[in-house]
Amino acid sequence: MGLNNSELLLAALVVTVLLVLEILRRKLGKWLERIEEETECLKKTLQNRQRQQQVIYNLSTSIFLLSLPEEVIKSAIEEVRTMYFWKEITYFPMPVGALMDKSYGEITGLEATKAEDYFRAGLEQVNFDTEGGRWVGVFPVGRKGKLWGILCASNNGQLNTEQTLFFRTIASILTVAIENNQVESKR
Amino acid sequence: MNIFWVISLFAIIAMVIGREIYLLSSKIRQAFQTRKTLNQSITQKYQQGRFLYHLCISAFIYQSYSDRVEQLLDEIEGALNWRIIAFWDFNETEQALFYRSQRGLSAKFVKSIHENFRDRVEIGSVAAGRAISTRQPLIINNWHKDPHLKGLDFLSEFGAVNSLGIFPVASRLKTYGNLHVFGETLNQFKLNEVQFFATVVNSFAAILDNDELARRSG
Repeated sequence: MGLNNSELLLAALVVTVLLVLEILRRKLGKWLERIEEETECLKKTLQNRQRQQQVIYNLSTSIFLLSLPEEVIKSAIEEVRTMYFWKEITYFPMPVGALMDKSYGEITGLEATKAEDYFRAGLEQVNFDTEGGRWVGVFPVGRKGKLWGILCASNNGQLNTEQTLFFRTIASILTVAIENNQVESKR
Repeated sequence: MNIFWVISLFAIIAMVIGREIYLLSSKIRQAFQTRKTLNQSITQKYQQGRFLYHLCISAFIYQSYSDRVEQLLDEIEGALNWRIIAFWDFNETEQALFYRSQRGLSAKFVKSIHENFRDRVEIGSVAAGRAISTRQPLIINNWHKDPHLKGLDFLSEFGAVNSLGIFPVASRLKTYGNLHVFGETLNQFKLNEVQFFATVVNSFAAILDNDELARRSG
């Protein structure tokens, strides 16, 4: 096939354009993939926050329906387990002024005596299982003397700011609700 | 093979790739839009979460009822940027609501409330009275079409408001009043807003109970 110089130049130009287009297509494809991955992450974050809001809403509604502190605690813990899919959450009573004589829920590998130490020391997060990399968030409920509280274990490192804020909010609502219940029942 | 046919073949391939690029770019545009919306929703949820946390821990310091109400209105306005809000007190003896305070409502709207209602709404009447009688949130997403606000179109114009959420503040102990949240556009109350403000008033009622019980027990 005998091609002259201008035809060769034209062919080279067309091939270059095609190559550039192909490179652009691949780059855009990769970019789209990255954006879609980020979008998926954002969707999960949003779902997580929606679930948190749902738990707090359910808790704020149930506090007026439940009259015993035990019921309020159990309901809150069940709500976190069911709606927020956070399985390892537990209530630990302290010896003095405990509202329930038994703990409710369980955190594998965490003993009651250890939990008591964490509450007494006023720690917010503890790496209780260094080998397994497991942390526990300590959220005291009750303002005077921090007599009891909830603990939430995390297998994925420390609890983040958002999770801490969520559990603190739950602890605060429980404090108010149970104080109200206690005063009302005394009257 | 003639050069013409070679170039034509390349041109067809270029068109196919070009079309793919076009489709990809529109998908990227859509993905950016979705990401923007998601980011906005996440930020909104974060602000709402922080607001609820601050509201709940505020219970640990005793405050008078009127200070609590004013603080609630200030914080809804400041932290959530929800510009138009009002609070009505419920009087058990008179079985009526009495206007207490507002943020962002025009002077004309407030004047009209004074003149037309004498700052008072009977239980069961108009939207506010209906909400307090059922102790359930009442949502009006179109001011002009809702039967609860029949004949009150002028208020929408005075306040430049088009939607309204009424959230009763009531606990087992007492019915305190209504939080009125106004929207400037139609359909401003979706599930998220309704659930959020319902959580706010429930928590607020528990905090008011806490203050009330602390006051009674000295």
